[in-house]
Amino acid sequence: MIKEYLLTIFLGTILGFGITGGYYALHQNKNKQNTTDISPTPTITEIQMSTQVSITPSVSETKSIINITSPENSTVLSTAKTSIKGDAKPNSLIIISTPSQTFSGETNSNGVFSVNIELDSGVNLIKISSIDSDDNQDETELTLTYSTAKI
Amino acid sequence: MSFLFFLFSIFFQPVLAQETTATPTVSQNLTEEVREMVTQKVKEIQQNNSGNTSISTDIPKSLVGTITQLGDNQITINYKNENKNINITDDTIFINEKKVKIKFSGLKSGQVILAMGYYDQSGNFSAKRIITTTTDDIENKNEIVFGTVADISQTSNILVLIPVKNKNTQYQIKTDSKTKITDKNQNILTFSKLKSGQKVVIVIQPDAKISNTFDASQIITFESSSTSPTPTPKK
Repeated sequence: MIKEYLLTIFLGTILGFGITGGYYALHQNKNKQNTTDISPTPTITEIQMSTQVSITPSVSETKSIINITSPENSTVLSTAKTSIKGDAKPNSLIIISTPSQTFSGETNSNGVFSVNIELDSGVNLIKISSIDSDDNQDETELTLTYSTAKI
Repeated sequence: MSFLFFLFSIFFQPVLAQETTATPTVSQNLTEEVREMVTQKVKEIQQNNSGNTSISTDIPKSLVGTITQLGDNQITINYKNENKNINITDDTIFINEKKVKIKFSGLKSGQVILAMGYYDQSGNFSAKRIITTTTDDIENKNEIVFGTVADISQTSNILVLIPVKNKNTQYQIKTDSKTKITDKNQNILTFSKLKSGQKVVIVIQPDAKISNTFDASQIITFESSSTSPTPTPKK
């Protein structure tokens, strides 16, 4: 009788553990599904499928605006020759137009560019355009002043 | 006893299988990483759009615009519908268009000026040098247009361009001996190398007399000059 009683308790314990374990496994599966659902872009789903965690390419693809990093807008320069540095979409054509001259260059595979230009004396309203491989044109302006006067 | 082992293995199988995959942790980390990167990117774009980047106080800066108000020690200028204040100090030098020194009282409302000086930590601009100038001197009349060559004149150096940004418009573009024509690699080309259907970037200035007509200072082609026309399949 005692033997049967102990066996029942043992079986009950195992059954309890089993139900708890089953519920835990089910809950984990649900969480996994939810995580997949909230992934915002197909790129992320692709990353989840592979074991490599690399999201840089998708970020570079979102770049669409030409951005000038140097010189700062409205800067007064004491030399006529300077470099316009910035970034746009990778492998884009960059056209820089000062009031009297036009200069061109290209962005590298990281979208970075540096184009040497020559300023006119005084205020230079510079127009900068980028044209990417998908025929998208972005434009921005930069004002630089060339003056040899001591400021 | 074997029955017990059987029951045990059945009940614990899903839990063990779940532990071995460990995918949820990786995906959660990924989601967090992506969220961080997106947040960072949004911040960058917002900074660029608002123009609230920090102003350097040790680099000389310039402001241009039309005088709208003259105070005792301050000038307000307007440029592209934006007002800016310029502080005047005892050290500020005033120069007219003939490069002659003038007094502060020589400035008038409506004059176009170029002010050179420095920003302080609070973002106030103090001028060291103020030069009177003209609207023409602060403008850049060039336009950079990207489009497709629709037609090329056989008798004169004129082409018709359809801009990518406005395909309902046609620009008549005149070229002359001063127009620089190159390919993307900056190889010099002649006007005769231009072809209909070719994609080009043209730096133009509007013709004051004829509407939708422009003078080209530079043309950059997107295709190599050595490319042969597309062959027509023969039957």
